Amino acid sequence: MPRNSDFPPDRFGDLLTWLNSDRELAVSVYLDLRHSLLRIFLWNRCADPEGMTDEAFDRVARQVPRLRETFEGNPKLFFYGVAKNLVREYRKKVRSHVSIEGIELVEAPRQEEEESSGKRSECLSKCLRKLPKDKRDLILAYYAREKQAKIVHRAEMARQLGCSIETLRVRMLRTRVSLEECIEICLDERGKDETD
Amino acid sequence: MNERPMTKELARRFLLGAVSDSERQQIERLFMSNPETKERILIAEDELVEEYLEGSLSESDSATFLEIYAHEPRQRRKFRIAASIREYALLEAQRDRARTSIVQKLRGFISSPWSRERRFYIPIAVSAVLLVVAAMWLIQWNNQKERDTNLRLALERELTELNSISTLSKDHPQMLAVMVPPVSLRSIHPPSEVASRSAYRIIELQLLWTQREEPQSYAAVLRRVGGSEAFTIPNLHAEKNFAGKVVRLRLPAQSLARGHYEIGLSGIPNGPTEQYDFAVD
Repeated sequence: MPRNSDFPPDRFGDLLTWLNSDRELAVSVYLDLRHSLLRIFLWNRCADPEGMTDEAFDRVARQVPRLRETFEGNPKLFFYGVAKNLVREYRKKVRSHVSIEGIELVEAPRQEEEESSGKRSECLSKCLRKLPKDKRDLILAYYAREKQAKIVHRAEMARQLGCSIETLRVRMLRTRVSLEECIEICLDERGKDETD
Repeated sequence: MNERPMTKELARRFLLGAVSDSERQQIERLFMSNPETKERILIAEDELVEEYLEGSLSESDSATFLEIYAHEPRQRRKFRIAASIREYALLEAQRDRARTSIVQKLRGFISSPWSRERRFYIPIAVSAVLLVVAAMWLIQWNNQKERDTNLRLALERELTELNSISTLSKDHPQMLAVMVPPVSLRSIHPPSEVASRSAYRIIELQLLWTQREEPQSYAAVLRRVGGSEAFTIPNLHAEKNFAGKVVRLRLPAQSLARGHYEIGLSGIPNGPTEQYDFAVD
């Protein structure tokens, strides 16, 4: 569910149903959309990609009753339309700040949660242990070389696995994304434990 | 743009902001709706992260990369996580190679027929000790490398934060501001001196921009003369003061060793470049 606490659960439920009548599939579409929107806002250099992603979901969710009746097509593209509008509004806001006040272009960054590299290493080890052994060995081997050596090394890995280098890249991307998510959750939990 | 296949090159240009607005929107649409395109772009992004960490991106690509991926705290956190996975994998591989090589050498010695003869005992023992010392040195060297990488990442983060728009708008009580003209204007005079670093926490260099072009933003590359490391500080902006147009660049004084420093300031995208230098006494 979005970070925004103003997002009522029933509205979120309606949104999921609009995305897919099968709840499990709907959740996976939602997570995929969330990841895509975050990236779009990041690449457009928006100051708060997470907040803008929440705002996009909120705007679409408010329109779900109407969309159910009238919208035909891929809901993901409707989300993209909303995201484009948000980026446009953000840029306009930034421009007006420059010309009128000439000071801060973006909102002041939140207090950065600086985790020590020790905590990060602990979470990394914990999350690596959670991965099945074959995936863990594979991802460590994939990132075990740098520069020119890595090209030869990865080609050899693909050959040994009997797949193309592209397939190997896609597999590693999926493993790395789930590993990174696990580390983020672990760091969040440790941060919470410290503040409690 | 027709729906042409998402090549590695196109994905890379898109990620570094080197495509037109209409191309960007087409790619973003495909990214949202086409899983194959999404994966290709994420793979290209992964490769960019690797190249940045290996130091093999060009200066301008590196500046653009930092501008996108280090301008927001959550992104910096994600970036640090991605970096730590790679560092861990590299260190594990180095340790594995060291372990394998020692074990193989020892096995070779022990299994060879001449190793059973007494006259070889002392050389074998000496070699074993040397191997253990070498292994310990390698582990220490690895740890030092890890510490250096962490220090470098921390300093890059500090530089990016010190030079973010919100930080630059605030004055710092222990800050020394120095006007630095470009080398092309200064002719044969010595570089600007920025005084003892112990007296101030922040040194603000006001880099005088004398070019006619007015780029959207600037990236500075700082390096110590004679040193091998360079630091890129992206997303800087020009402003006017009594001396003309200046780009402010803040540096943490405690990180500056005594010596001469060079700064290359480039307009983004594809703007002209000016060179500056200064000395820390």
